[in-house]
Amino acid sequence: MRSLLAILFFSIAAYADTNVLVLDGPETNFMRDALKRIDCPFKSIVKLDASALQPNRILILSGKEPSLDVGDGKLIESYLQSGGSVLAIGGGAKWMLNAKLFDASGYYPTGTTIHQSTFDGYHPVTFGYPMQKPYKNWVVGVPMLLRATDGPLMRSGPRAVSILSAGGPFSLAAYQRIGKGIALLIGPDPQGGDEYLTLDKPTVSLGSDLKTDLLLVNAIAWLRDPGCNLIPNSGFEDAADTNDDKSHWEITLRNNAKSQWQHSEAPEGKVYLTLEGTKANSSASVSSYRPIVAEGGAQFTLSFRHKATSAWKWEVAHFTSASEETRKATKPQPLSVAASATWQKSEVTLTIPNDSPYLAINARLDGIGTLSLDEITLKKKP
Amino acid sequence: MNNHPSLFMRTSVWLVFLAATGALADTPLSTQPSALLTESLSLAKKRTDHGDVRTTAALRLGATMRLAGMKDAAKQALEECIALNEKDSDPDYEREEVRIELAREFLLLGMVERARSILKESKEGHYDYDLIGQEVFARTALEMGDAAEAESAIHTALELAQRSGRKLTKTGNAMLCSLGRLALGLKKPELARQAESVVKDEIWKSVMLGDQAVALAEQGHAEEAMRVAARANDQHMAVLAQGRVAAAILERKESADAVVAALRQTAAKIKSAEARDFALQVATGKLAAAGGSALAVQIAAEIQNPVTRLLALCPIVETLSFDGLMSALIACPAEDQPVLAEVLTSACGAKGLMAQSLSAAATVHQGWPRVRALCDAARRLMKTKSRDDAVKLLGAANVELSQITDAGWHCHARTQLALAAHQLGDEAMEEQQLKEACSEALRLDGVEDRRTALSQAVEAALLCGRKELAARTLTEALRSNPSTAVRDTLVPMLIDAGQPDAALAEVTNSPLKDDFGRRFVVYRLAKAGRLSDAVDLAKKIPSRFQSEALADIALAQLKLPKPAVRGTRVVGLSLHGGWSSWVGQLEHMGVAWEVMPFSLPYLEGADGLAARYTMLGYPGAGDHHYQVSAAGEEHVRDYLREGGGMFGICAGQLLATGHQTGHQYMPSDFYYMRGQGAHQVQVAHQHPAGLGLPPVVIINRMNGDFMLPRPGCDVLGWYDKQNICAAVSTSRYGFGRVAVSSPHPESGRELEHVDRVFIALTFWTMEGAP
Repeated sequence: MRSLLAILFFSIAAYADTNVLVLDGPETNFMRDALKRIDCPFKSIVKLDASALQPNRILILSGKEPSLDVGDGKLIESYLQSGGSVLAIGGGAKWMLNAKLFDASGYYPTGTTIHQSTFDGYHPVTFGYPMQKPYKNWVVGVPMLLRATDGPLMRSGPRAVSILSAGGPFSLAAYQRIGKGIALLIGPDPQGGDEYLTLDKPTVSLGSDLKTDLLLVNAIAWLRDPGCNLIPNSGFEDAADTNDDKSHWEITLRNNAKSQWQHSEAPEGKVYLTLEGTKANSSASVSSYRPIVAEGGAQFTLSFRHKATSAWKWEVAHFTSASEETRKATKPQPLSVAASATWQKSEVTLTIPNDSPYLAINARLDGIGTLSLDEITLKKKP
Repeated sequence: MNNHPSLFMRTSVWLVFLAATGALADTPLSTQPSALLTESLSLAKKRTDHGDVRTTAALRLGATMRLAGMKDAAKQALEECIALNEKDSDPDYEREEVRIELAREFLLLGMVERARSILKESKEGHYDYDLIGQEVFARTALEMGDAAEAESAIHTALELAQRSGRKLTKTGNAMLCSLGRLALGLKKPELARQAESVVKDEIWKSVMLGDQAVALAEQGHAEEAMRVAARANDQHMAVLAQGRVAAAILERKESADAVVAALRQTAAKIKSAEARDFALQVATGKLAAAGGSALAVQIAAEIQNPVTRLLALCPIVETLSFDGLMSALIACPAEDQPVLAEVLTSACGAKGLMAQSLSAAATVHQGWPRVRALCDAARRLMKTKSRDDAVKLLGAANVELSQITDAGWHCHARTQLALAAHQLGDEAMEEQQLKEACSEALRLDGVEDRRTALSQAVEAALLCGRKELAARTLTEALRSNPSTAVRDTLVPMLIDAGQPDAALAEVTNSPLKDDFGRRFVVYRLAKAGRLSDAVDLAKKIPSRFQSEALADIALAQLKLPKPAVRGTRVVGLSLHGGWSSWVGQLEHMGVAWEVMPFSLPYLEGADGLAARYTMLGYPGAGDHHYQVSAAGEEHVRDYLREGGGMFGICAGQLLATGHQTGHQYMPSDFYYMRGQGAHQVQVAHQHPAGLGLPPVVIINRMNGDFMLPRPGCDVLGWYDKQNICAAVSTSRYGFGRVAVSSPHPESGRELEHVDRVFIALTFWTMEGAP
């Protein structure tokens, strides 16, 4: 976890001279304080300024009522079309929906509420979760997301892709590619805010206490580098020996097949995985525990290190939505990989269907043999 | 928590399931209870699942064997359940709950020593459950007529409480209070005083002093009763104690003036006007129920809030000037007036005041609320006076139907009219409304509303004994290729409608999606005498539930025990879950309660529940459906249809909305939204239970569902300002009443508005009035 945080902080720090602009509601400094907390340089703006909206910047809209005018919608749309990034949080996300800049409708429960989200799929925005439990036994998503500034629970339309689910049909975090840019909307407030336990006396709940600052770190890091790897724990370094929720990998063994986490001589990091089939009808596979949130219509590179005594295959399935109840899935497509006596690094290109941004990958070995795997990554092709 | 099982696992799971069911297909089974239960035990031993699902099933199996007279087998099954419970149950509180129920079962088997020893086997740190265990043991012993064992258990509990030296929790206080009551019932006042001496909490101590005072008053020791009641240091409880003492004195046809004078003095010391008003309202109710109308009026006059005062006066409306009451109503806030008028309409009906009831109804919101008020008034009037007057009220309700524009609500209103007409014996009205309701339900668009309307209309037809109409409606509905949800709801009803073959054909052609739905069909087939069919169908149920389905078939053939005759019915709080915050609120309301073994709905059936309980309370917990079970759910359903009450909070809400079982007592769909927090619930001032509440009440939610109300779901509070998702609601189910709350209104501090939500919902569910 610490290493992951370090990487993410590094990726923000690498863009220290840019370029995070914060436009928030006049009533709160929660976002600004959070950005200071996570060492992310930023510039506060009080009014949208076309000259400040350059494509390599990230515009953060937050607070209950960010000071935006109706006409600012066109400015933001133009900024997005030219490659800018918008991170709209809470009331900022509500503004984006009201300005019809994002393909979702909002539902707004009254009061300040805490949401225990679940992953609609793996995405860099959620890397590092589930983490140390601030809430008993919470191991399935980003916990303790305070919704403090009247942000939306979103019903995503076909152009928006949900990353975090609130339950029911509602998304707590979703992104949409708009022109060359990306808008990432988060309904709750990972930075924290005023929590109203009574009608008139707010209690301050900070993202550092709720353990949701990391979501903010991740969001900014991803918007800076949307081509980054989408698969968590790609090298099996973290919690490999624990349960699937923690390791993010699920191993399925049939007919005396075996698996083992190897802790020496890994081609990358310290750990790699071995799958072994001992009978002709054995089958061993490892799959991402949850679907991966990719991008419809885009091409991705699936990269992996492997060695195997016999041929094996990748199975890749695509889904229209994260919900098991509503999604349509394609039949898993096999991609054969030849045997190799030594470690190889290979790549395959995956084309994501326009209407199916979620995908599942499964490495499978049938019959007698041994397959070793490490450093499985999925990155968008430039 | 695996919400996304591997995509590549499902095929194999399905194959395992098919293999398991196929392996049983050739095994002949007798339909005799003993053979079914033996087979059930054999299957239970092969179960590989874990946790409360398996443990509670084992408990019920042993209990069913006891009911079937298979004492040795029951003992063996229960001993195995003990082992399972130690190994499987998690979290700890579920283990302790099962342990208490196991001890009760052994006691009912006559194995007193084994029962005692089980209660001694608690884990360290489960002090509350030790006390609950002794309380349940004592009460069960008393019901079995074994006063000595009951007394012994009270002594044991007192020793436990004194020995531990720990500060009693809410649960501990409540249990000692209940044990004190049992002691008073055993005519052991010294024992009750001992229990009271252990309790240090002023509120609970005051409650217990009140109990002792009432016992004295009932025995004719009025002065001593007043002295004891005066020792209650909590002023709210002191007012209640004095009110109860006054009522007991009135029951003896003696003067209660002195007690009432003392009560007024005590009430005057309560600083919060709202708390004082509430205490006086409850005391007024006690006096009114005991026939002390004049004294009740005196006390009510001291209530400051005009809404609360009017509510307090409604039960004695016959002694007051109706015009005066209407004037008082007009002095209330405008938003409360139509709802107060609804309460007054019902109150006038209850006292046989037809003309006044009609007059008050004219101020009720038009449409459904007015139909609701008039139907309720007609039912109440029927109990006290002439049928003709009641029919006139229904006639007015019938006219009001034209004001309801929503098709689903129109259909719902017709079913309520039909049920009221049935109770009045107005066959023509009943038939007309039922036919129209069924017809309207079949024409409804929208899957959810159609499902709700069809199930309500058919249920109403069945309750009115019109099986042919029910069967026709079901057949037509199922012919139109309904959605899975509609089908899962309607198919089991075919059996109630006298069409078991049609139900069998449906499930043979295409199995119901829901496991509970299938088990409902099995149980209803067995109840209908179609035992072989029930067994055949049970074999097709997923293997882990087959054992339970077979036990259900056995249970369906057994004569369920009738509970010991009791003086008054009480609120039954399911042992499973977090009821400790309920009991303090119920005491504030002056409402009698007891902890209900979670297996009791299964074991005693609807008649047992009706004999014991005015209302079932299902609190927050992990889930309830495995504790209640499929047959238990069927019994709860029957209990509610026949006029029972149910209040579910959080996990209890899931049970009431059919989240896991499909039995939808509250007509609403839901979104499961994990999360906690202080929601600002927007109060809808459209229902009597919302009277006197401010526009917004903050209530804490702990993962409760967001409800999507369907026709028949009267929303009391919304989670939003757009009236999309409901937080708190009420409904009628058959002749019964159901209230649910997604957030936790029971967990507020003393008499905040959030408490008033709990109080209003409980009173409404018990009595139909806030």
